[in-house]
Amino acid sequence: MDWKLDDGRPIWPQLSQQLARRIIAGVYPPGSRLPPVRELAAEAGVNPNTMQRALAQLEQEGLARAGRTAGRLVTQDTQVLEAARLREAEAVVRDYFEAMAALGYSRERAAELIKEEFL
Amino acid sequence: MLLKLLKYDFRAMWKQFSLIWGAALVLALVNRFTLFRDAGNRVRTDSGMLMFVFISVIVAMFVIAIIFVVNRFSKGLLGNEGYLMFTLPVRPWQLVLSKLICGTVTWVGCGVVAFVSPFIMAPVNWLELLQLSLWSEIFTDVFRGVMKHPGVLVLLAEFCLVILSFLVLLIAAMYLAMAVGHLFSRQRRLISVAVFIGLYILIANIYDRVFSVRFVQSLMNMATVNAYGAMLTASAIMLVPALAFLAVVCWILENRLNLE
Amino acid sequence: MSELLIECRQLYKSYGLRPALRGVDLEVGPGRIVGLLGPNGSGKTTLIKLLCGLLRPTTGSLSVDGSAVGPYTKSVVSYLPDRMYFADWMKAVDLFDLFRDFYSGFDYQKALAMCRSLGVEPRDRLKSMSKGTKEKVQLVLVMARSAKLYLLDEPIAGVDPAARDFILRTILTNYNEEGTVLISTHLISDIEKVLDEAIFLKEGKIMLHETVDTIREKEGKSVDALFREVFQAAPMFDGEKEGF
Repeated sequence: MDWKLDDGRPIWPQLSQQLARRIIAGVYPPGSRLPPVRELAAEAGVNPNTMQRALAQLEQEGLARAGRTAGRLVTQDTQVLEAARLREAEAVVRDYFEAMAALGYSRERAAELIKEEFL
Repeated sequence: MLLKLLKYDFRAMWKQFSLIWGAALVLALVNRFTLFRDAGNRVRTDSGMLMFVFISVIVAMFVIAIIFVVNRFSKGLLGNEGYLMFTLPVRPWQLVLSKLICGTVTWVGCGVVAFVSPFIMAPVNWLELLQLSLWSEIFTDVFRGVMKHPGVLVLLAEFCLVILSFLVLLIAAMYLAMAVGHLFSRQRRLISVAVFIGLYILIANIYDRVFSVRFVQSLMNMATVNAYGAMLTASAIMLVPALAFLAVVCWILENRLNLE
Repeated sequence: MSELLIECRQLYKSYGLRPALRGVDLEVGPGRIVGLLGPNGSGKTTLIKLLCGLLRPTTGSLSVDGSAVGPYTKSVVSYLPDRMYFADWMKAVDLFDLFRDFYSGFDYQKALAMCRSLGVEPRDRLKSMSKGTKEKVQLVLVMARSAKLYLLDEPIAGVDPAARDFILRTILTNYNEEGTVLISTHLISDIEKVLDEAIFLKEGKIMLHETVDTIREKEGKSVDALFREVFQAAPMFDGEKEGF
């Protein structure tokens, strides 16, 4: 999974969003230790302070917590994970409707198309 | 820190001069066996070539020594290497002093090589000569003489000091010329040469005036009576402007440095 | 110890009559990666040379880690110039020796390890190295020091994009965490992601000094895009006028 960063927005929320997705997708399984800030920063090619801020955001959201010694652990709280998964799913749905609106489809028509695709 | 700087300056010097000095001494040794001694103990004519090579090496050595002093300053401090040297945690005067000491020692080294090699070349069998019983007498005589007149050693030391002062003055003038040239954005080399010539004329003139002043003349007369004083005065007369030059060089490097 | 690593007050520098910096006020704290951004001739290199002690300001004051520029500040500043600075007869290890002698924070083993990862043979003569390899040696010298302030003058200009990534990664993984890194460049899109703060320098003056996040938040565009707007507005306007 690559890091994708776009231009118009601050970097740290993009990083924290992508970290969250990795956690939801199980790249970093529940209870596992997240890689150190420096490693993540080097991998994404970003400033360690920025990565630090993104990780702090994950802690705020409850997806990660500070480990007893050093580093951060992915949460094992399935409720939190599920809530995050739902948030991300809602974002995908929102994006879908936005994209469809741009193509000139009404929300109803867009929903029907999805159903047809599904069937 | 000065010691560390000296270590690197001398390492760079040794890299260049170990070869040249070695070549000069080896050639002298070769000449000693080819030049003066063939089977009939006649001077061989074909050895003229080797003698010529030897003299060329000695001349080249002095030319290289001058270029070395110029380059170590102009390239090593005012060129790209200056980016390294001037960001070391040292003061500019330490950089200058290190180069100055190394340059002076280089010139002295060349002088020593030029002085020693004729002895090596001389058609004398040093081993036989040293075995002569005469030597112990000569040594004891010399020793006794020195003990009787210890001032001779002081004179010798003062003589060395005069030579050193002269070398320091010469190098200081070269450094100042290059540092002044560095103040200009163009034609730095040309200006440096002009400044050096200017400094030469200036020093010569000042010495003329100084020596024509009666007071100093009487001082010198006094000094000639006392040879110790004469040589010390001569050293001082050269060291004072040398120190002034170096002070200006350090000021320029500290305040007006502009590496491009 | 001072809270501020770099402090400039009304800093002026001119070369003869030509002004290079015209009243720079700047404060930079520890632990930051800062981009010094501006077109060629805007005074980036002059500011960096003032900070590392290769130039003296014409007027104004300047301190690094709370001290006036001198042997102390030079001992805590690690400087990567925009050119090669070593004598050709040396080997990379000779330079490592020299740095170990003069800078207490130089990590010899780290330098050797960095050489290995960069594919540089430290016992080769510098004379026999390509320009790119020499640049790597110089980068190793600078990053193997544990310094308070790293001054990198155009570290990624003139190298291919792969090498660029590699250099940035080397900087990111090797700088000391309490240290501040000041990178001058005109290639902003490549380094934007690694910056905490951006400084825009134009004709010897600071036009903008802001965190990258704030710029993106406020302007809704990348630093690169903002830079293009700020620095290329004038010529485009001229172009339009000529067109009509």
